[in-house]
Amino acid sequence: MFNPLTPADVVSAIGVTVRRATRGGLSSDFAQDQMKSVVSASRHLEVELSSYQEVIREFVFEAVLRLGAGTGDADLDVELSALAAELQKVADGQGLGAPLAECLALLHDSDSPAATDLLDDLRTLMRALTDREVDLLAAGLS
Amino acid sequence: MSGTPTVDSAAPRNEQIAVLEKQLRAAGALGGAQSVVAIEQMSGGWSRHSYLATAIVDDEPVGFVVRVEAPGGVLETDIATEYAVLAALDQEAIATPHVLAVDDSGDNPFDGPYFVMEKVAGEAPNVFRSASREMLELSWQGDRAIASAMVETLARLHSLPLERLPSTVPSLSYADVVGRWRDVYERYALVRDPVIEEAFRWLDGRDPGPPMRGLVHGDYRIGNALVEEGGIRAVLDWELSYVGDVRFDLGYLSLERLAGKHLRPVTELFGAFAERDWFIAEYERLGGAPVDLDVVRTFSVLGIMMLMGTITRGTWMYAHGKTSDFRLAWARFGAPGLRQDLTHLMQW
Repeated sequence: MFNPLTPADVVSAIGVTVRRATRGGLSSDFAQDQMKSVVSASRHLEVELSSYQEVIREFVFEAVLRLGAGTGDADLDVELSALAAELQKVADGQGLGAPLAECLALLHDSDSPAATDLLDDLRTLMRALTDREVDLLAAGLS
Repeated sequence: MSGTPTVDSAAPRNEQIAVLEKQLRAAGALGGAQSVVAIEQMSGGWSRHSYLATAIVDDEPVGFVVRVEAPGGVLETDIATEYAVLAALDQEAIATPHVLAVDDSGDNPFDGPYFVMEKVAGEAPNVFRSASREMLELSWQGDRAIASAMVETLARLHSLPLERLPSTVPSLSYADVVGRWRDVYERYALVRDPVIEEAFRWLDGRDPGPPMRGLVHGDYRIGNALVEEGGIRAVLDWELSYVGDVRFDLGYLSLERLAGKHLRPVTELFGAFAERDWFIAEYERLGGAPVDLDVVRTFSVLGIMMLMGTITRGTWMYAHGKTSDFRLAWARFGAPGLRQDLTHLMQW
């Protein structure tokens, strides 16, 4: 989640790298290192493409639920609602980053206890999200 | 997304050899009739490319390492300063390679500023490989020579009188270091990362107070130490060194990443070479000052921001065709484990 380079970017990079390595020969340490990275990337990519959508859906569901509970600050809640709507349109882990970061920034700017509680809730969700991502990737390697 | 050739596009080897021979003779490392017979690029890091040059001296092969600032390299570090730090440490009881020559012009057959140093015997353990970790575990269970050398070297480094260092070594406060990695994120992030942004806010609120001021290695880990016959022969990779709060090195070394964690921890040993409590107690004993572990945690988070900064910059370089080194694209798969570590260290 929030990782730079889209899966399509990585697939393209793999193709470029394999093409270069096969043209130049695979005897050098550098070429072999490149190919090891390609193999590793393909295994991670498989997990990302097959598993992340469901994780993102579940995260968005929980986050939107919490954002929907509001903070009691009408202006802030309007902005949070708009960001929650953006979250619901997110198609991938990269897309989560901006609306979530904006939510956090708004909550930091507020000094209300409700905003602080919501910040903690979102952090808890993000921790669970990062743990889940690592679990999936690790399972894909085993 | 294209890539321009990088590491394998250097000028013909004979030009590199000619330049090296001249420098090595000037440094007294080669006699008039001796010559460099081979030069090959070594597999290795992102911000520096290394070449191994072999000369025949008194009928024996002698190695020299050429360390070049990488084009489109991940970190904007100064080869001349790194050389100056090593030259200064040459005079101290800190095991570093002996440096011989520097060319910071960039207009040379190596396509970048570089310096030359003697090749030191030994191998740098790769904590992502089980064989290296097993060797380190055996050393810890045995005479602890590697662990002792690592803690002694670090304590000695941190207590080095600053007046013995070149004035070009940057002096950075805690806020400067946080700001450095924040700048990298803001400038090069391809996507927004709310965990990273929260971590910067967390760091802003965790100023550690009066610094334990000294020379910070900046990337101190067993993977940057040459090990031979159970001992440390040299500490390498000084391009991130600066004068500042030395607890950064402790926090950084505490990261499970440096003990081989990509996604899962693979050893219980601190840095893959010692038990953490032992290391901290020895460091305190050698340094004469207690270590606040909560401050070390702050610097662990800062250490991760440095690693995330290298990933951020590296993926940006790849995406913008500044490098064709696939490892910089692969690095995006290193982010999830580090992000997880951030959430745990910040105790979310």
